[in-house]
Amino acid sequence: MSAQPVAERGASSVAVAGVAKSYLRNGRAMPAIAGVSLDVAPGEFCSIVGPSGCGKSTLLMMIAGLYAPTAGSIRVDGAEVRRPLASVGMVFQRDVLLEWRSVLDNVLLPIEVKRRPKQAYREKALDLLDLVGLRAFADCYPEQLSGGMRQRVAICRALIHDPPLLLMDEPFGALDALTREKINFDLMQLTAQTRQTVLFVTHSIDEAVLMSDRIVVMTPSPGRIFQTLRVAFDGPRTIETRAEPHYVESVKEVRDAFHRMGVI
Amino acid sequence: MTTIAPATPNERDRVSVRDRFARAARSYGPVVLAYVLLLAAWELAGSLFHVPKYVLPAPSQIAASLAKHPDVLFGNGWVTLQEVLAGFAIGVVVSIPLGVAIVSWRAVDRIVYPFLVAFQAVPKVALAPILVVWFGFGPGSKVMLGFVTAMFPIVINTVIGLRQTPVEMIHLMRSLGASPLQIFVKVRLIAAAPYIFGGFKLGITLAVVGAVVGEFIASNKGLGNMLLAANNAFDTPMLFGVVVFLSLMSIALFYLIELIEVLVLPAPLRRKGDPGTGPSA
Repeated sequence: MSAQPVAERGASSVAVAGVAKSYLRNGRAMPAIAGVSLDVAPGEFCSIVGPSGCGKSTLLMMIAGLYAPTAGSIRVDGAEVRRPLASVGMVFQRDVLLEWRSVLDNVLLPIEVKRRPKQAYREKALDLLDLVGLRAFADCYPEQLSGGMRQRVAICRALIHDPPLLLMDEPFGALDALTREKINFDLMQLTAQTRQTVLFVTHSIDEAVLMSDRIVVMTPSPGRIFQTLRVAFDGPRTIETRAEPHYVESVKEVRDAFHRMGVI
Repeated sequence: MTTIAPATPNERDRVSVRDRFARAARSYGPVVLAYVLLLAAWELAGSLFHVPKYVLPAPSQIAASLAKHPDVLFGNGWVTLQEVLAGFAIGVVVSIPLGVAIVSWRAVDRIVYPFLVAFQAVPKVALAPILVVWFGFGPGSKVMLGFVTAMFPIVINTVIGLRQTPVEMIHLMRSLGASPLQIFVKVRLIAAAPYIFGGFKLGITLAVVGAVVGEFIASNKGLGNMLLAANNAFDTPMLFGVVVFLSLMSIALFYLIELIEVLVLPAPLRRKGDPGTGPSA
């Protein structure tokens, strides 16, 4: 396990080809995903939007190697995914922080599990917490933090081991609108430095357009890719971005896609 | 990227010792007073209405009967305590691995769990004569009865506790390359600990019940035996005295477990279930 194929500090490429997944329910196979193909370039921020139950999360878990696809293949950096990826950062809708560990020790959890020297990563953990305004809370327990603060800790935890691929499953779905907006920019700032590949599952069209290089729109269950569109702004994205014509058009385009599918 | 950091929550917790004492006196004072009044009323009512001693002895008479032969009381108490602790210890040693097995393997869950529930429906008192046949007249049968009564809540709470860990956490740990053992030790077991301690607290008081019931059936020692002897001698004050002593022992054991919990568990797990300590937002 010592030689890792993926260079740390880098960005992974993801190639999903003809992937389908069905679950057994009461003895019958229920398709969750039907034939999804998707290529994500290194360093790309790709959002997956779709109605509830369209298999977005399942797709993400399969890319992480946590579930096996029923058909098709998934490659990360050219290698077929057959077991849980060793170098991936994950963030879920629930922060799943360990209540009995301090904020700092929660951020350092991946280092501990990977049996790397914790002391060497301490400064880095504090720097990450500093970037999201939580350095003063390093020694607090998670229960003393609000929902938005906890989720920012979870993001720091996902980034501490420099994963070349960040998988985020509706990470901000449980947050209020203002906190969400703030954390969107926090995340962009964090990933702007490291430029890892990000796959981001969300229900929010605004959030997807604000942050992504590319948006994948999925159909209702069983999930297929309905449409993909690129989002490109000149310069970094700021609070002003939402006022730009390209932003407004992109939001409209995604919304139209949902309209044509009959979802909205 | 500036966030105005609110005062760290630890600052809220700093309260002076005198403040704390005053607060404790305010919250516990009325309770203590109520009990003292109740005992006084009991004492007075006995002499006022001429209630016979063999029906309801006064608190002073109960205390006197307890003080008469302290060596007998403590000797028998020690016998019962040993049976309780042995039964509880066996209960812990058997129940936790059983709970782990139930959570880890579906087959064990399907086979053992229904049996466990059915077994719990059997009145343990009914088992006592059988256990005497199997484990003899001595302390063995009492230990075993304590064990079977204490086991159920410990197993159930272990199972509930181990199922607390969200699936996302397990995904996260697996994606970090954690082994099943690492996931168990670093996450699941610790998350389950408050529940397991809850099972211990129920279990130890049930072990007392088990041991005493065992002594009722067949014994020549222990507090249960003392109760029988007092009953046969129409010594009601002694009967009450032993009940009080037994209750105190049970309460002490309960708080002993709680003390161990406080010493062993990290603060956020300890306070689990206490209201008003959640996140402020």
